[in-house]
Amino acid sequence: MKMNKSDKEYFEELLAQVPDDVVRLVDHQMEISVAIADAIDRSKYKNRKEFAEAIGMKPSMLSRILAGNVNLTLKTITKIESALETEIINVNTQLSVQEKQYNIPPELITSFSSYFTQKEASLFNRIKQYSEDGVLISGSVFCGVKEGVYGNA
Amino acid sequence: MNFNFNINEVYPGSKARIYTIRYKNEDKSEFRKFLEDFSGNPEIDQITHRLQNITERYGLRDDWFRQESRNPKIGRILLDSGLLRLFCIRWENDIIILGYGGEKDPKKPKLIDNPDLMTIVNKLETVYDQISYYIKRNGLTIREFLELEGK
Repeated sequence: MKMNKSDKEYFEELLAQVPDDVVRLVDHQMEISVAIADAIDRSKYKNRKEFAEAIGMKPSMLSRILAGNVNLTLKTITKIESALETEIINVNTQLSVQEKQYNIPPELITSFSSYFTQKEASLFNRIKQYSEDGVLISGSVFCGVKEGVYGNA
Repeated sequence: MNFNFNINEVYPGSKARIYTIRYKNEDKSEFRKFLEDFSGNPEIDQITHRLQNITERYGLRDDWFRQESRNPKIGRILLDSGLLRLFCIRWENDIIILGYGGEKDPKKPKLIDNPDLMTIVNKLETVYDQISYYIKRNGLTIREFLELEGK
């Protein structure tokens, strides 16, 4: 890199080079630590020490978790969620594996949009968004509802 | 302002702004030297992205900062459990002045037993004292000072 770059330019250049897996890891670590910290603040526990004791964890371990420095297991996350009576992680499982077997071109979906009821249109918009995001899309639900339309197209 | 250092802006995020110190007898800022000197360290990627999230999304929350001096404003950005340390001065949650850093000796867990790292912390304490004295004497806020200085 050239020496005449400002600190800001140099830093931004490094940011652009951070590998995607590191970006995701850091994002998850920080998102989870903030979610847990905020949930503890809203919870019935008076302070973090009391919460740590309630779930059988050393306060120092909780501090490391809140610093985003622990590779948490699902078991630990679930334990924390249960004690705080809240959801820390939310995995998008709206489309099942079975639904994903259909791969319908976006232009075909668009051509059918006028046939949908309001409820179906909402679903259509969601599916269309998936297709615009370049994800293998599902047409199973509306194909099931509008089988005749699809069959006559 | 008659300091032996300048303050350079590094990243002006919506939740926090990052600055760094450049000593007048040095070509590069402390943070720039840190990034270059430890460019092969895998923790650098984590540090840069963590700093970006702090500036853009969260601010510097207490949980991500560890005090490393008698002065509560002097500490380090907490990273994954590696040995690399990046020291800073923190004003509230939204102003961070980065200094240099280094690797802790794994056999010496206490900062005081790592003289190179202690030197960095001591230099930050001096910078903090000089800035604090200046802004108090001139009736400035830290933001006003950085507006004047941090370009």
